[in-house]
Amino acid sequence: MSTNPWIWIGAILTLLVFSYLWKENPFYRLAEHVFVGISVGYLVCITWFNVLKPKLFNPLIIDHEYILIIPFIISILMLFRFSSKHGWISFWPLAFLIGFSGYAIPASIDANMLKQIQATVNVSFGNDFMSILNATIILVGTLSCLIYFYFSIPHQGVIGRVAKLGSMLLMISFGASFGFTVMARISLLIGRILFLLRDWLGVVH
Amino acid sequence: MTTMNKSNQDTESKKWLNFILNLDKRIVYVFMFFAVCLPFFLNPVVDIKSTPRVQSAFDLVEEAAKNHKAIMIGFDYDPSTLAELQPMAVAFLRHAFSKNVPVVGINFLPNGTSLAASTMDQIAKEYGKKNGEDYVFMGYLPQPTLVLLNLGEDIRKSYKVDYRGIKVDDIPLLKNIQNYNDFHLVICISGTRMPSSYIVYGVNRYNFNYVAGVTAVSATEYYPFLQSGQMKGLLAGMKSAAEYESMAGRLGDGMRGMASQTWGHITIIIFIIIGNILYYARKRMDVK
Repeated sequence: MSTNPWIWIGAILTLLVFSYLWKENPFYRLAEHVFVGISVGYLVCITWFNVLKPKLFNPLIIDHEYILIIPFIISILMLFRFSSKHGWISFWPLAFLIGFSGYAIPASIDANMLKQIQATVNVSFGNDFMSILNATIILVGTLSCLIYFYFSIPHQGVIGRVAKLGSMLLMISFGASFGFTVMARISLLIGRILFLLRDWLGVVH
Repeated sequence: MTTMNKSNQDTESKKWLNFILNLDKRIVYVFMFFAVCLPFFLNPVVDIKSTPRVQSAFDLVEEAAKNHKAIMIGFDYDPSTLAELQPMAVAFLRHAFSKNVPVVGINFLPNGTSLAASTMDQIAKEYGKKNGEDYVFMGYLPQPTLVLLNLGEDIRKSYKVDYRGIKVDDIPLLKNIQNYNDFHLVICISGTRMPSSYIVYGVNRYNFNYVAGVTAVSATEYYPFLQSGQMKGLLAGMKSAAEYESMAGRLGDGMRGMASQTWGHITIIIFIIIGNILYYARKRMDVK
């Protein structure tokens, strides 16, 4: 069994959280509140030591980079959000942030749409059976799913059957997603149980 | 009399069916607990076959070793996804350090900063690597969009000091590193949307070798990027970490967890099958 007090704290908090599986109880709530409090405190410390100190206060005070006063003032304006009377002042720094996020629009369209369309149009059929099968599934899957979401014409006849195929393929993809979700959740349980058995109790190696 | 007996039998069966179908979920939890726990004691062998998407990630690290180039790893995960993503991070670091590949670590998730730093230090220690010479962790920065764009031009635009507070120009490892071109491979390990940001603001603009390590939940979201070539490799969940470990020939938490993963899945499948059969049986009984 571990003699490290931090491992003990981790193990006890893990057990407190697991107690929720039995039913909602004050021990679980205690762990929940401790987690939220520590997360916020940690976030503040990391932001101070990794961002504000090295990127703002040190250059400003030690290196006399007075240009940084401008972003400092702009960031302070953000705090006016808490005032009901002067809250409108916080819109100025927000305008900077929103203005910059405009850059994301063409970049996202290019990365998530145009490149994907290009890849589907140029799909490689290859020489072996599996490559041909994969390419066919990609082509047929993309087209049938697109038709499923095309509502300007009634889903009847051939269009109806293709749309039906599209909806079936979507169901398969949802099933795959759900399977992955189960895998992810079990992984989290495995992680905690391995921590309890190995790091805390030391009964497995 | 016979009809009455049959009716009694039906009522009894229905009672049982209802009892099992409304089984207390805590009993299911107990089954799951044992399914996950027992493999750690019994050590059953799980055969892990590598998939092309993990193999290509592995090959890129091998290439980095041959070309004597560094790799960059984004440790964008926190304790909530530790179980899935930490084995990947450890596997990448062990592979890189064993082949003398320099590693630069970055982080955009504040709650994972110390975790990333301690993981790098711990694995580096196993291989006798020195901080600043063989690896360096740059620490947390907000606004990943800006940082990822700056990394395409000059790492110094975003990072003035590393996690320990040492000036970038005083770090030997970073002397010959300026931007993405100086890395053979960029890896993002995250359970958030961060891997997409690397593509939108990094790969699309600067075209570098990019691999993502993601949680199993978000895996299906990233498969299209493999087909389009925007990602060279993809590690999804604990299974991929286990694949990587088996390729690198070093047992880690990924491989250790796979037997529990398999037994857990089998338990869930058995419960789903039993539940469906009983549901169908009750439906038939109701019709009768």
